Amino acid sequence: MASKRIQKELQDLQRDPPTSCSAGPTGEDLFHWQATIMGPGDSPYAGGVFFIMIHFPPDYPFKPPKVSFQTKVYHPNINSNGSICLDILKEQWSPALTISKVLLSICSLLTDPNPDDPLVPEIAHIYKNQRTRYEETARAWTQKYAMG
Amino acid sequence: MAMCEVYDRKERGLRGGAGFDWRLRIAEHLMERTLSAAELGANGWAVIGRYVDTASKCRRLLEVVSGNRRPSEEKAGAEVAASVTAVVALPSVECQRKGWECVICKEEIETGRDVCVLPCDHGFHWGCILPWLRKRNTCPYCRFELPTDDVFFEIGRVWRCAVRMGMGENPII
Repeated sequence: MASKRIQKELQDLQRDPPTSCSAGPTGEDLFHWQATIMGPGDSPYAGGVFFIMIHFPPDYPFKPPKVSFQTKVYHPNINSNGSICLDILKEQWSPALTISKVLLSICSLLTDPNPDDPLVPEIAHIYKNQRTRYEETARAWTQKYAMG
Repeated sequence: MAMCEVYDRKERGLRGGAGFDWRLRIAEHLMERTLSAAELGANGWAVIGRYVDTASKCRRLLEVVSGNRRPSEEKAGAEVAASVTAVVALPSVECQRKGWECVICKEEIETGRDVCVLPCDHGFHWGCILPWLRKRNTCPYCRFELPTDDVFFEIGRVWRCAVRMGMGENPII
């Protein structure tokens, strides 16, 4: 079931690609994908291109895919290993969700961080108390790691 | 009991024709009666507050009894399978619509095929929904919660149902 469903998602992504994201298998293995997200225009990540690695478990879609950033991001919910703290990738996963929906959720997480459930408490603290400093650092990191 | 009482007073109201919600009617009636007896029609919280307080004390007691497991909060996201009894009782309906997609396998359900329909009215292939309900008790589509066999999880589930009812959503338990 897993490979059939992944194949189906790939077809849907090719037929109707979501704006500002793309995804597909890295090589022959259908269970390993790479995705790219364009930094949302209304966020300090604007102009950046972020690479994301997706690994499907053998019992997908009953278990969530493992999704992590390969590009360094300065964000309260993304740590230095690229791990993402997003409920739908953990306990709120549902088999009705798709990679395209997951990528869109990551885009909105970039625009609206969730500092109340942080993965990097220091960044969450700065986000809450010194918004301008957070934006400057996030912009600087985007320029350094996600452009060119 | 509540039902009888409402029936006495609002007999006509209860026979209000098709499509009326008797649960809502009872809830409205009880609310009206409690509030008017306490002469607090304008401020329901003073009356309800006591019950909420008792309920949360019960919850806290349960939390202590059950160690660190918090029935209503942390367990909301835990993986609890749907109760076998609830799954066995799910209706099987013959698919009569064209173009109905099973959101689990993302494939169209052929007409004439038996599908599993959850109480929230969302349907899936039996072969797709069963492995999921063995893992989780939620509808993949809307997260409606089916009963479970876990007592502590059930307390939390009923609590969440009550909260939803309080917010005016249609109660399906």
